Amino acid sequence: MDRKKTILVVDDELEFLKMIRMRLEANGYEVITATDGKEALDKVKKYKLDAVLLDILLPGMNGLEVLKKIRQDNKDLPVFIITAFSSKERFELANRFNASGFIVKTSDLKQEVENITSFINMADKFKGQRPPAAA
Amino acid sequence: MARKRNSKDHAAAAASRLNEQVEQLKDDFISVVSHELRTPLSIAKEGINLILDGIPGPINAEQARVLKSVKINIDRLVRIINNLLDISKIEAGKLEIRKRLADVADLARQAASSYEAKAVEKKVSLKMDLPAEHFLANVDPDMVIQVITNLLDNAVKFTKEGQIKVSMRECGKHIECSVADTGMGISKEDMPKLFEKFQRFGRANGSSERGMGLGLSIAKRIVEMHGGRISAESEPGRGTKVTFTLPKKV
Repeated sequence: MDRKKTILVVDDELEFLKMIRMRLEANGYEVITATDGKEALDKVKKYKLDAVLLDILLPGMNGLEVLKKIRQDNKDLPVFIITAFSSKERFELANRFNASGFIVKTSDLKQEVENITSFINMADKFKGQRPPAAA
Repeated sequence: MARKRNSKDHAAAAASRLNEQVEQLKDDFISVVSHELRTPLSIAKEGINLILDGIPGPINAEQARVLKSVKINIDRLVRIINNLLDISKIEAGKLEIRKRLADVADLARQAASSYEAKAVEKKVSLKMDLPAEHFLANVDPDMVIQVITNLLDNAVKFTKEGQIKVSMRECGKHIECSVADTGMGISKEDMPKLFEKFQRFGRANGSSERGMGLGLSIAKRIVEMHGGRISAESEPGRGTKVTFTLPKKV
């Protein structure tokens, strides 16, 4: 049996975490949560993750700093930035650190989760299609 | 004399510092309000959506009807907050336009298709008279979509029967886009104030629809920031047509 795909959601809004957890679990995901940057980085190291959903405004280390640190060891892990509003400056900054996509909190999360699923599946497919290393 | 000039320089420097602080406060205000209002709204919206999708368990038809009404109003609140923040950014000179080459016909198609469900719900027909070929212009695509969305929002809001039509044509060095409806129309007296902030004509005319009266004002500012023009013609009881232009790619 295929293992459930695991997503880490990082947000300091506990109620938002509850909602997104329900949505992701209903879509067949295993969900792990973190409420600050340090906890997020610990969990990125500890678990085998298929994607991270990362809020920008976090207490202490902000989301972009967390993304930068994740990218030091995990170039291919899909990381989606969660934001309350769609500031282009933020998008550009996050793109510089190779964010995989954005989730605007007030948008339709059902649709966003479908987009994330497509992205993860594409990333999986791409992995599978990589040519084997030369013997 | 030298002392006098010195004190004038000090006053000017202090005024400039104060000005910078006020600008910074405005920025912080927009950012904080944006985050603090949208986060609880997003939680409320997703909570309703989860229940409507039956994820925590089944609900009956009457409960679904009530929740759909809550959802419509949360979406309305999100639009109001977005408009308020946009107008604040425009007035603070912080709304940046990032132009790139885009097919304006395709942008209109995207904006209009997001209103198909609403039109069906209101039993109004939504027609798109858009060119099959590319209408290219150097624009900020998100903002052009916002302009058309704001026009469609009004059209859907104030049209009880008949049709809404989005059309586009080339007109000399410009691309001309119109959103026409067969709605309640606007009186002659109200027309000069149409693109001003906080003008709510629907309310004055007894419509049950509510808004902040910011959509057209934002649309005008965005169109002008692109070097285009916006205008409207209307006949009370017959409908309204709002037309805007954007410079074509040369």
